[in-house]
Amino acid sequence: MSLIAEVKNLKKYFPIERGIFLKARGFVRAIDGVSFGVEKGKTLGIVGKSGSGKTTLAKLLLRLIPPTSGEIIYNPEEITNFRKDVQIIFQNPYQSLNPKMHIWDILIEPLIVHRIVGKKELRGTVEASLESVGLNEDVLSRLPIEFSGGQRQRICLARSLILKPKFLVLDEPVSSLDLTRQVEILDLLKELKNKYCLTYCFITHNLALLREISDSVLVIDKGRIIGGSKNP
Amino acid sequence: MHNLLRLKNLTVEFFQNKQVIPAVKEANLEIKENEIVGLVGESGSGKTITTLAITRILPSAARITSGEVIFEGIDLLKIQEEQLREVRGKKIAYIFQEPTMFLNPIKTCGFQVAEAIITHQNTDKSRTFLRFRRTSSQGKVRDKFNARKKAIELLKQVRLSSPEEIFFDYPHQLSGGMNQRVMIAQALASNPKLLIADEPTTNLDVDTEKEILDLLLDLHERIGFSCLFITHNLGLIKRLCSRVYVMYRGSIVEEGNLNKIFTTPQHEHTKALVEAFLKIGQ
Amino acid sequence: MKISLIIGIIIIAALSLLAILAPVISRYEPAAIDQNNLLVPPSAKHLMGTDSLGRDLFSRIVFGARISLSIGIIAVGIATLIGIILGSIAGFYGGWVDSLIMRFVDLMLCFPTFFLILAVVAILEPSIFNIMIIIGLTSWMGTARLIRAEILSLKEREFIQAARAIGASNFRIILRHLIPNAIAPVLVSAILGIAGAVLVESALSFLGLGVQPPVPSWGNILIEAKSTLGIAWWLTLYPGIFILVTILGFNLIGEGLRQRI
Repeated sequence: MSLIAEVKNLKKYFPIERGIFLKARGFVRAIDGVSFGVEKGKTLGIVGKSGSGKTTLAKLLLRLIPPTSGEIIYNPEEITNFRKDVQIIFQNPYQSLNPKMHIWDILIEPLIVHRIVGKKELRGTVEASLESVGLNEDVLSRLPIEFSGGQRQRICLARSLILKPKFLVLDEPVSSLDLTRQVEILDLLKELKNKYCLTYCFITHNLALLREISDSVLVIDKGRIIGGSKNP
Repeated sequence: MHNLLRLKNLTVEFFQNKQVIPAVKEANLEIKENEIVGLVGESGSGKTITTLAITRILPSAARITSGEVIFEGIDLLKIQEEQLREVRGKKIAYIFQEPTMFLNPIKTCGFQVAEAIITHQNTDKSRTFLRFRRTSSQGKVRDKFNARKKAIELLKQVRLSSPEEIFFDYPHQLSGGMNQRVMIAQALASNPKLLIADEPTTNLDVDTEKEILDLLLDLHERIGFSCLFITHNLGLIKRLCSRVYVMYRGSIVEEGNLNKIFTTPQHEHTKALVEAFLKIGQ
Repeated sequence: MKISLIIGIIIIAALSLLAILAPVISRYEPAAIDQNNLLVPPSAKHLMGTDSLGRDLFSRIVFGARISLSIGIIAVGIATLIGIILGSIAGFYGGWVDSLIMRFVDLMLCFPTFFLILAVVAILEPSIFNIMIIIGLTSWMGTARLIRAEILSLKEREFIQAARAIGASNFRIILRHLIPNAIAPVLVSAILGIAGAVLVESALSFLGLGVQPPVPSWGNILIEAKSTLGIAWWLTLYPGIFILVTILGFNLIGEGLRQRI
């Protein structure tokens, strides 16, 4: 049992600014002392109501916001290039894609940023990633607005997976989709995990989803972990 | 029990860029008095357009090309705009998915509910709540006072705690669930016969969703109205409705009472919906 | 498309065409003095008449269009560039950088711009180049604020967070993600700004501090028009109409676009 990541006493407080001089008059304790480990190759489910700190936790895991105290230690043997090996899928598919960028540009951006493939292999790599999420190559010339929520989430998945990450954080990835689409994306996620040996951290408010996909579950409320179990 | 609302072969099409795109194809639907009926289907199946067509509040690119909408014995598609206004908002009220889009952000919640009350009381008189007129100003003051009282009553009925304070709050100061309750209060201000609820809980978290559904059931029992409840989640239908219509790509593909739909779904799409619910519905 | 937008586009397209084809469509050189035809009213030979040195007004107007339009466009180009750069840095980085830049904006806004331009031009020599630069350096503030406001609201959107998550640099995020999505109101502002710049240039030239004769500019044609107002109405009318129509055209386009975006 090796850990991809270990969270130790993580805290994130947001100051409440009041008055003309915006002095901090107290704090919102979004995450208030959270510790857990993410096992490699498994799906860790985190369930909580809205406002329990789930999205803040996702952003902390991706180091998009700095913690107030505590730490998130990533296993250096597994995670060698952080922005490549750790990726995230957001909740709102209608806000996760740059509305002015064509799908082709969206998908090659990670490759350009990390200078992974040469110009000749770009097309092949992009098409392969589209195929793995069940999309056709004629989406490449289109803009995000032409796609439904489910299709957009697939594009986001393709964007994240094109970097061949080790760890994928999913923040309510299916909550804004119809139930029938949720099932489809869930099945796709399971397939991808097996195919690419991924580790997932699946955050949601819907416990039934976690029953389907996760190996263990942590319950979060008001910034604290209040319980958990392994999925039988 | 006779029909309160009956849609007969209703067809709505979009006319854009010289193309005709069908949105609703020959929909047939019935709602009886005091009945809660569900309309379930995926996004894009035409549910919302169907309900907007009932009182002819469609987007400009859409047109009703055939069919009838018979409400209390009258075909709403054939009457004049003035007569339709007696129905729209009054006898048929709507609540939508995004309360923040339908509540005016610069007016207090109480004001908006009271405004709804006054608007539906005075059919051909003043439209604005606060305009002072020289004639019967006494009557207007009494009107406003009564409207305010009634508004607070309604806010209480939708189970908002401290309605007297909420009266003076603006929509952005309240949570999504509270705004939804304000919208319900506004919709019920005119004592409608039919409440059309279009995915009212989709944006709310699970606990709030449950509360709103309980509220609707409770109000339905106490006040009595018919309700057309639209959703993509069969689980909600199970809690609320006695009958359900399944819509797929513009057509109503199946219809029946709850039991029948869940135990013996006939259409492919209904089966998919039931399966999805059983797997991951809450 | 609204009719006003179409009219605006037609106006500016026509003016641009006149300006571009100036050497082709004018019969006379704009600086050609003709002692025999001083202050001639509009006729078949001189479509818009001549001025007190016998120069054909029509050619001066169309060559003047070149000057006025290019000054307007380039000045606004400079202003927009400065505004986008400063506004995006302020909006993206926030904190003290934002405060610093915004206080600078406030400072610049305190100056009555036109008088600042007058003062600078009076000190330096009035040349076309100087005018473009100085107008550009004093009209970027609105753009900076607009871009900053758009970026502040865009910054928290998921697609920006997603770009950070795949490792995009700040520069890349600003250039490829934020600016393209923030630019719409700036475009409108820029087009309306061209109208303003043309007006400023005309005023400067009219006061003698802008484009210097014999190079024609609608503004400096009006210098002469002032003294010959009673006699040679055409010297006032034509430059005046062209300035008016130009500003109208850009305003119509700007307002029309604003409604579409």
